Amino acid sequence: MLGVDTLLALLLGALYGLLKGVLFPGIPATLSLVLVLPILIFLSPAEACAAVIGLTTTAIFTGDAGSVMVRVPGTPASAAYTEEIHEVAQRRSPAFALGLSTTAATLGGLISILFLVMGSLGIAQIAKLFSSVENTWVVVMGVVSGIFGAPSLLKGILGFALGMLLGTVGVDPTFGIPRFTFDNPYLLGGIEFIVALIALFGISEVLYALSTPSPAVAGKKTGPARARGGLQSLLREFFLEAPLTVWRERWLFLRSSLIGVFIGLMPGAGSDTAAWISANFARLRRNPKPEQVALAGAAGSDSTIAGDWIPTLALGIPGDTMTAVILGMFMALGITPGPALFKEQLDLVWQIYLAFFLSAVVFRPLLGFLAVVLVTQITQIPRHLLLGAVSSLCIVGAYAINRNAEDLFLLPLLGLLGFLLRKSGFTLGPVVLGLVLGPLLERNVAMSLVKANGDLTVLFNRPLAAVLALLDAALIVALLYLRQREARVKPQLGGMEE
Amino acid sequence: MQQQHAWEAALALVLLFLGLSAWFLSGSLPSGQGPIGPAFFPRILAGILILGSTTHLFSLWQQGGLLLGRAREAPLRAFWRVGALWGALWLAPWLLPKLGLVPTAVLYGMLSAALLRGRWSEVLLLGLVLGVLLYLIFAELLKVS
Repeated sequence: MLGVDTLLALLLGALYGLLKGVLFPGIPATLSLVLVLPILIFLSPAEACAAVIGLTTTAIFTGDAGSVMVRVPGTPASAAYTEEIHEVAQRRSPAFALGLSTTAATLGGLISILFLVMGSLGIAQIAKLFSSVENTWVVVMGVVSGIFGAPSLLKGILGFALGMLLGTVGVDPTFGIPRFTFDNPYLLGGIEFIVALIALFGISEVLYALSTPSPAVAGKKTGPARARGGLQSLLREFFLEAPLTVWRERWLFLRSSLIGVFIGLMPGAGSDTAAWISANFARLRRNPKPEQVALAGAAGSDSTIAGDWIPTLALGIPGDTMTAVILGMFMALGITPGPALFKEQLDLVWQIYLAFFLSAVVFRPLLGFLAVVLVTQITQIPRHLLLGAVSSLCIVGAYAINRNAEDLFLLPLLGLLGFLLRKSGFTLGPVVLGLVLGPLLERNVAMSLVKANGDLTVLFNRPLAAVLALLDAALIVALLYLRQREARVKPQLGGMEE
Repeated sequence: MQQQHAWEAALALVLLFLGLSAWFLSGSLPSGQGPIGPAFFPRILAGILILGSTTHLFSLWQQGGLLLGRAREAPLRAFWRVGALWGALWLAPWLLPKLGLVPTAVLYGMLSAALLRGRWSEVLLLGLVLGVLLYLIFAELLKVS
């Protein structure tokens, strides 16, 4: 059962996600999570997980609010069907457009929770048989998918290598030798992961905005699309007409949800890939209606969320950038994902499932409707004020983790690196994955090779290891196929970061 | 596109520098058992960074986007603002013990908003709201001293 505090954390996380989606559509969901990490690590594991689930599930689906209001997608996933959902909002009403995406998100979320429960329990059972050799291949799976998630393979490889190199600072995990510490005791513990995230995402966002003083950055206030009719009309459009449209398009919805679940299960391929593929399948129909494309995109995008958590919980391998950040939070809270989690902290696992269920069934419809009310009433907060608040939160957050002022030196260093990466069209996902998975990869490879006196064939000798190596090869082929397919139909996103 | 090439060239040079530094610094690390030791992964990663950034620089050079002057897609004063905030961030570790956590954070929030060309009235209001919120959340609720 979820305690009152955990329920409150879930609600507050969901409300934060809602406000992010409606008031600050230009702020990436990952950044909004990174900014509250310094608060979350003060909570219990169950409360922190509930808050993150509330935030991530709501932030992703309310990302459509920006598309509905001003044709600005709040997330890369909603960019896949921005034109269509905006057209629906203009032609019918914002309430109907958001009702469509909320219904798709709610039902798609339920389908993906079913897969989360079955998938993570099943994979965790198999993972009990893993030694360091099998773990190596599992980590390689995360590495491969992280690299393929980047705009270009070379950029993915460089980003991952950079993140992993940053992760080697400090005491070597296998031999206990200090590396790249320059005899500074502060660096012995390595680069603090959450401070690195704050610098890479938060500071770089502010520096990036400073370098591009466009009207959208410097205080543009954009009025939202207005609702037609009163509260009764909003209720009818949102709770009756939108679900009826989903029912009429149930096969399209089901197909899009299954695409989302399947893509969510693959490490590294997240909600944006699923949204693009689902929306494009809908566009392939003869004379597709904008409602159909928007519905397919929203269902595909929101069905991946729980799927992304399956490799994270069962194997400790993040499904996308968001779950990589969540994995960092797990580490800070002392939670070790993987089979041991299902044995030693089964209560926590069930609380996570329950939080997902409540978030899908209760919070999404209610907060979705609240989003409609807000969308039709509130003007967005000017972006320069928002980014000022981001700067403040970065300073407070970087200090609050260890209460060490020296951590603040990482802000300009890694902030500038993040700024350069963004300016160069790199995504930060591979860098974050390098920071998270790098030490894991190094530890598992070192342990395997030390046990075998440096014999590389040890990585293929065990049958389970050989199967996992083949799965990695299959993953590479599948991601190459997805990449090609996406490249054919996906226009440039303009460097938008998940 | 050429503007992005210039940024990519600058980043590739940074990555090349990091790769070369890591390569030479890892040379001084003690060797371990067989091929595996503390320098094993840093050497591989340094090699990837050196090779990858060199390849990237070469392809950018072939496309003719290496001229740094082409990176000026924004007025020069925009880059002064980036430099001003970036320079100010280096002062944060010294300011924090002297001013305290919340005033330091509020100061940076107001500075960022002002550099983003916010009106003074808005910046002052932001400072006030941030001050109250950060004090309540971090000082009172989470007891971060």
